[in-house]
Amino acid sequence: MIRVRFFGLLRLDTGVKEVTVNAKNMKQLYTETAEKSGIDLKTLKGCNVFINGKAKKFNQKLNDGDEVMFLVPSCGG
Amino acid sequence: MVSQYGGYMGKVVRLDLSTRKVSEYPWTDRQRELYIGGKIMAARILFDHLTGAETAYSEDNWLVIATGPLTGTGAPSSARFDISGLSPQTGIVASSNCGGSFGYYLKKAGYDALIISGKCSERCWIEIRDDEFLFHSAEDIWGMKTGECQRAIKEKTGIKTKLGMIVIGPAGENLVKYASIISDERAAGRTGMGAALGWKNIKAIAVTGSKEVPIYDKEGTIEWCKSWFNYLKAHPLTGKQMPRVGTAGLVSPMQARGLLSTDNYSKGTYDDFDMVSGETLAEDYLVRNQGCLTCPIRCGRTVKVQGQNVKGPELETLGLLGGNIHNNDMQKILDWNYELDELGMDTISCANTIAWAMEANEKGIWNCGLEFGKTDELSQIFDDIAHRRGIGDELAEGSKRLSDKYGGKEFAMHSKGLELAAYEPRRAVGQGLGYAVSNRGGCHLNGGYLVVLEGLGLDIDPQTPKGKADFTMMFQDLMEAISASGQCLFTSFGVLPAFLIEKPNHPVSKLVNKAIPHLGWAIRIANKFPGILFFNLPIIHHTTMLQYATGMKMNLGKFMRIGERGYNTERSIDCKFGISAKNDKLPKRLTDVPQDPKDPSTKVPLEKMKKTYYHARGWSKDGIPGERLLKRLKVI
Repeated sequence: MIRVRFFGLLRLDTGVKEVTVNAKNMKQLYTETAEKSGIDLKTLKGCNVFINGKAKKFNQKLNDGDEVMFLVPSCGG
Repeated sequence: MVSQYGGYMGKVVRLDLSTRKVSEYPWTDRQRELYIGGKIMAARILFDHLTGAETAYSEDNWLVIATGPLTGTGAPSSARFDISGLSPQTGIVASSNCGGSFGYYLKKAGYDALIISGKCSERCWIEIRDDEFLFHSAEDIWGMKTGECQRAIKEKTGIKTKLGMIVIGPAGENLVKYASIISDERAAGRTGMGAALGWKNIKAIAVTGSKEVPIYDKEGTIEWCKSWFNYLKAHPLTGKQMPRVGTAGLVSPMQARGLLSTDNYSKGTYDDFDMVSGETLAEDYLVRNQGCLTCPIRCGRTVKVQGQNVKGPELETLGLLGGNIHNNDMQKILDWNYELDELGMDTISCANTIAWAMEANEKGIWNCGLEFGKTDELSQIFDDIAHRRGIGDELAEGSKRLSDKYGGKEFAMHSKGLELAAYEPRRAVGQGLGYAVSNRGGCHLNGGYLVVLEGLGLDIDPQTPKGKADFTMMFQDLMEAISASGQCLFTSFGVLPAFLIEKPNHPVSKLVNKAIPHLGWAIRIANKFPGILFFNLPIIHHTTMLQYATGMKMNLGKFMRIGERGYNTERSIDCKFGISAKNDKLPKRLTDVPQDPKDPSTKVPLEKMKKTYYHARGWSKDGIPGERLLKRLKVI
């Protein structure tokens, strides 16, 4: 299982904090996450995605136990 | 000295506490053109006054409280004022900015700036009513916390509203090196100016006035203000992100990028970060958002502490009193944030000093009893610091002095004696450079705030040193000029194109992020020949706003030059006090130890970037602005 967490306005607007998915690659991650969270695919694809603390790479493979963060850009403080 | 320009009250006044004399300080329209106001104006005044022999605790330490020409004009987020002088914490130039209403009412009383010199022979508070300066005994309010003190002064003056105040708490009275000055609920937190005021025996200054701020082109100003308000409201950062989650919203992106200072900056991620994140704050603790006067961004948080609505914590406080001391209790942070404001102490320096003490205790360097994650006694410790009791007396000196005494300099997280903000710079090396070269010490904002480009707003490579020196210089100068105008630095977020923020994965955004580090040469050319920036850009509203409000001819090149002049004037003051390249440094933890042991690039390549930065600035290899540069900038 992969833990998918949401942050920023994405979380505040949707009220979804996290879901768990079974995905082997990014395509499956987006599709399953959209399905389980109710957040539309376009919004998810517009987010910054971090997997295990690192920015996602093109065609990245996913493994059981991975942790994914979906974020929208912030600014400063 | 009346000004031909709008936006200015035309008077800078000097109040000498030793003699209780009030006199006008000469300040000409030519100086207004060169230095605008705020911190740059203050830097010029201090540059002329200071010789390098003065100390923070001396009658010769002038405290300059300066407003900008846009303060009181209705421009967005323009209720800022600046307090400059010599810092008790660092011994060099200090500038601390605040969003309270004091600056607005200082202008209503008829003053662009107030210079405080000398020292009161007894404890006083000062009341300014237009041209009248009244000294009152502060014996009955000495010892009061900042909220109680402001309520007491309102009672004494009989003015419930339309009164601006600055006050110190017990920390300022007891000369805690990082004591703050409070105005309303906002803090001039950094550099210990509360101690400088406390040393002068001043508990508070209250000001009210009946004058109107003159505006050069009223109709144009109103129209431009409207369009700028609308722009900020529509921008994804200033119109959505900041009002909803405030600066606290940065905790989670910092975690994602390894930027969240944790366990005294030994790590960049904190397992329990979400328990102290901006999202959790918004979901479970937020009463409402709030803003300073004339601010459409409204990034402030209102939360509940002991049943009452109070100001909530900023990102820095969440990070430094959260993961950096291994605390995951949000309510405790809300309580401490309130207590520290009430005691009149900078949350950044105080929290950093506590983290240093925890690590020193862990390593057996200083057996002070403080431990990471054990925070039940911290409220008492804060009170002890403010009153200089027990170990609080030592903690009141800050991490630099403690590490000078006990050792552990490599993990005393400061630069030039000022503790760092919550951004762990090994994952944003440009921010590391900024901390090191900043005029007032380890400040993220005075350092150019490159972390906004290195992942938090845009997404340029955070590990490359390429282009970072040039962009650091550019943002330092830009923010210097914005601050001097009287505006909040957050208005500069509107400069980041909305498209790049809203569509970070679009090929155009990716291309721009890739290209930025390669554009250092362009920054340098623009810096050398500001005449090529003879225009105003629609996304940088500040320059046009200044034209409408003041009547001064302004363009982007002139604006940037004013910022550069201000930065170099401050640096030149620092140099009078012995600052050079040797002081532009970071603790070894950040420059010598990779955050990720498997990735040697995760440390700050400071010396390499410093060399490029000095070259871009036109400073000597020792980091000193030379005569030729200062003449070109019309500083000398």
